Amino acid sequence: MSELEIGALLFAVTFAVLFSGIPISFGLILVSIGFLYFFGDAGGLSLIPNTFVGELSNFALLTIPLFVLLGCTIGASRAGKDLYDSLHRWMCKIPGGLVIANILGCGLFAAMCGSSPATAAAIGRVGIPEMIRRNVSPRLATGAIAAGGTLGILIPPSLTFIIYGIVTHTSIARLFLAGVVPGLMLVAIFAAYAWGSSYRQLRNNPTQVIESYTLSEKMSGLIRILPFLAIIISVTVVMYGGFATPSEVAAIAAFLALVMVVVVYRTWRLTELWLIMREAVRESCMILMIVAGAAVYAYMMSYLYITQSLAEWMFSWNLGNWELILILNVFLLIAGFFLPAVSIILMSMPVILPVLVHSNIDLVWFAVMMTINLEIGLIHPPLGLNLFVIRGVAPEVPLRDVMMGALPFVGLMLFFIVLLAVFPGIATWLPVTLMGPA
Amino acid sequence: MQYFNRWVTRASTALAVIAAGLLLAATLIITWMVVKRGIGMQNSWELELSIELMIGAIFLSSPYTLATGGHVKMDLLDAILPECIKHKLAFIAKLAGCLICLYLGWEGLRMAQHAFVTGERALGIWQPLSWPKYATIPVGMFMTALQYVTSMHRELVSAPGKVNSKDETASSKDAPYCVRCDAQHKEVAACRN
Amino acid sequence: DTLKLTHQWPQGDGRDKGARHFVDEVVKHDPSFKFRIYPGASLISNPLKQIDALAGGSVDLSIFPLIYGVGKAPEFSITILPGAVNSVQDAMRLKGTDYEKRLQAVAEKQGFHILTWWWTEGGIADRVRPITTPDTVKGLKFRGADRTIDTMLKQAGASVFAMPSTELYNAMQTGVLDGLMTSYETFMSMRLYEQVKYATLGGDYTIFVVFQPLVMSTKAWNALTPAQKEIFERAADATLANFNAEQDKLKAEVVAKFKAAKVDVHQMTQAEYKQWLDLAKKTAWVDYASISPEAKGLLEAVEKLSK
Ligand code: NA
Ligand code: NA
Repeated sequence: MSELEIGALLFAVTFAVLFSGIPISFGLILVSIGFLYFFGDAGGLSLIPNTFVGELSNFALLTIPLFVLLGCTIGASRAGKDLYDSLHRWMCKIPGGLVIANILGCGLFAAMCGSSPATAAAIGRVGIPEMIRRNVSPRLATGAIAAGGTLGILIPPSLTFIIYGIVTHTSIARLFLAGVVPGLMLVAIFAAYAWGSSYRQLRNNPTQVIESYTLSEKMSGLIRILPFLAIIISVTVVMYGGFATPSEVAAIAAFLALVMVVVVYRTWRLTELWLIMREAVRESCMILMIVAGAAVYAYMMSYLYITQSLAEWMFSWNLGNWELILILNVFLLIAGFFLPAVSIILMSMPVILPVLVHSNIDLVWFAVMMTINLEIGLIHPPLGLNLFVIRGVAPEVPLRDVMMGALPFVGLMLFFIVLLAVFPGIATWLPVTLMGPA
Repeated sequence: MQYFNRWVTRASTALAVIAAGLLLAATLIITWMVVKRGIGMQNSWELELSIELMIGAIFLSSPYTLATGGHVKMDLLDAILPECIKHKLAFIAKLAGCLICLYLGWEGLRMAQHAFVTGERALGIWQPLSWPKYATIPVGMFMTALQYVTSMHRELVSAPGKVNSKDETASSKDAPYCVRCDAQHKEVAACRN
Repeated sequence: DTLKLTHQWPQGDGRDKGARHFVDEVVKHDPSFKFRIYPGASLISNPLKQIDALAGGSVDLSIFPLIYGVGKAPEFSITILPGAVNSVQDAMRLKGTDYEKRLQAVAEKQGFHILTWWWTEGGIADRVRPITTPDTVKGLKFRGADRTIDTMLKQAGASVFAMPSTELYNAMQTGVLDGLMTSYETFMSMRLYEQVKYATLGGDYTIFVVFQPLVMSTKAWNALTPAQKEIFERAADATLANFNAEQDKLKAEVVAKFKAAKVDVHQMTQAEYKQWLDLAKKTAWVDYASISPEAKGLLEAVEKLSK
């Protein structure tokens, strides 16, 4: 069988195995073992355990448990409820106000955290139950957080920009700056969608009670946000003041949240602490097991040369620039079905980069487009890491609903990719203005 | 078998408590590392130790995660398939999951044993020995496999077509959307076994 | 059967070019050999695990900086030991000597065979003050590279701590890190010149020289016939001139790039180098010799050649 035929078979088998109801991580390993057994050799099989563990021995990935702990600390204690009560008092007049607050929260969190699943986990853990409690439709609530969470890799700092910068010799500072405007625009687009969707729902259901609060009630709510503001400010100072790297900040934020919960909310009994910690280890285990399983799967695809053959095959067609951009985006979307963002960059850039350079395509602009495309991969099945994260933090919402909720956001992001293709300035304006032309 | 199930549940929970301790320790250590560096002192063991602790925490919490339904899966077919096929498929999926856990546990054991014999160390400034980190793999994955065994046993003894309320695949469809109630519910269910 | 070759660098990097040159040379003499190159960590995402891949037979060849194997064989530290060699040219003296034989023996024990004699240089860059002699690093926050270098820097009064390479750029930007010692390639690929003010590199002397050879798994190596082994060894030797020329070119490029970025570039003088060497001998060398009898033997081989 040729590599492309094996790839087609892999496509079918992966779907079948993952839909059987086996945990995602174990399913990915099962498929990898099977394909390396039938199409690879004993040598290929022997590195699976090392790939699995080697992937986890990475401090940047290990910030995920720390950010999850941050989310659980706020979410599993009274602190999260308080925060949303206060926000609710201010936002309840706007249709979808709380959803918009959550999307803004994702954007803010993305500015502290370089990973998308961590962003979705931290905000979703608190936000989704509170939104659903306040009659936001479960689809909108989970979809908004799944999509908002993907901004973690677009708004700096970003793990994928760092990897891309190293692989392509592009300035990481430039890439970070290029992600700012598109990130903010996506926040605005997501928020606008949440407003529109909630407005329609409200109009169809006019019996729904609209609460209202007096100014003093609003102000008293504001006081309860102060501890959170203190955390956000300290974390910003620690990170941008040169005291800690973005990864270290994860631990500091989690630590401060724990201190807040103990001091302000008096959660100091061991049983209460256990409620927080057990959620944190459960979610971390789930996310990182999937990440490690996906690394094994990516290794298998690379060992059998499937990804590379697919990319080589697509670029053998000798296309013009616009066709090339279209094909690249299609390729990235397909790759996003099965592979995590970092693996896609590592495996495909050696093939794509020469083509980009040959066609004189701006690497910074392409990085932003690629990142948004990879973000879509995080919220579409079968391997959409953010979907699983949401599933983990809100187990009562069926996966179908989470996926349906994320679908409109996939559409919005695809639309934004087109916008970015037509107006490259959206990405390149800020870095060129601040750093001069490349 | 009742006794065995209870023992497995207790051991899984105990491992999760240890994992929670490791994660908490890693958080404190990294915070301490930043403070220490901020006041001009040398960092040495902090980063490497916290990495080892977090890797250990991930593997040790795996059985508890499975027991409480935390390992996410695609349950899209649940609504479409007829009851009897669904049960068979669920059983096969569990068997496959169990075999993968045995495989990972076995390979982890080999890695731990090899690292122990050769005295392998992690890279860095402090260079801790690698085997304690690797040793958490067999412990966590074999326990996850045992957790699968109890779950498959329950599947076999319960009549097909009936939803077993104690089972980790059972989702309380009519419960309100509330994460904390759900976790509590699962915790109680797990402890009852 | 296709031989798999992995490395962690992007296409077009000096080491990637070296690997392709090697492959061409082998195929020229024996067209029956087929190779597949996986650049940029596209097969093994954690480059440290290449040593396990070689031992387990997943890959046949790798470009493997031996210091990645220090956790398994601490003797490999000799390939970064400060002052053991002072430039790429200096490292050429060690080829074919007792040093190479001893190093090869350590490598074979770990399941791989060293093919090429590829050494690369690096330097020091920071954001506080020019680094000349050891006392100028006092109080600066440095990123650790290898235990031997860390020992020396600590003795000189620097604060040394571990940091993953993906964090370097941010850390330099925000000031978590004051400076670092790394290879020219890393300076270039991570564009660290954007975030530093001073650099000590590009001269005739440096205390940062690293061995990054192309290696072959012992399994695959032993499967070759004596005639094939000779083809591989000749191909490895044939790459050396180009590889070193590439390093010289890179050295000039790095200096130009740093200067263009308005970095104050200093080239280490012989007198300054002497001070670093004396410090290294008192600290890192003593530490290294105490690792094992093999380490002691390797260090003695270096000392014998330095006389
Ligand atoms: Na971010
Ligand atoms: Na996907």
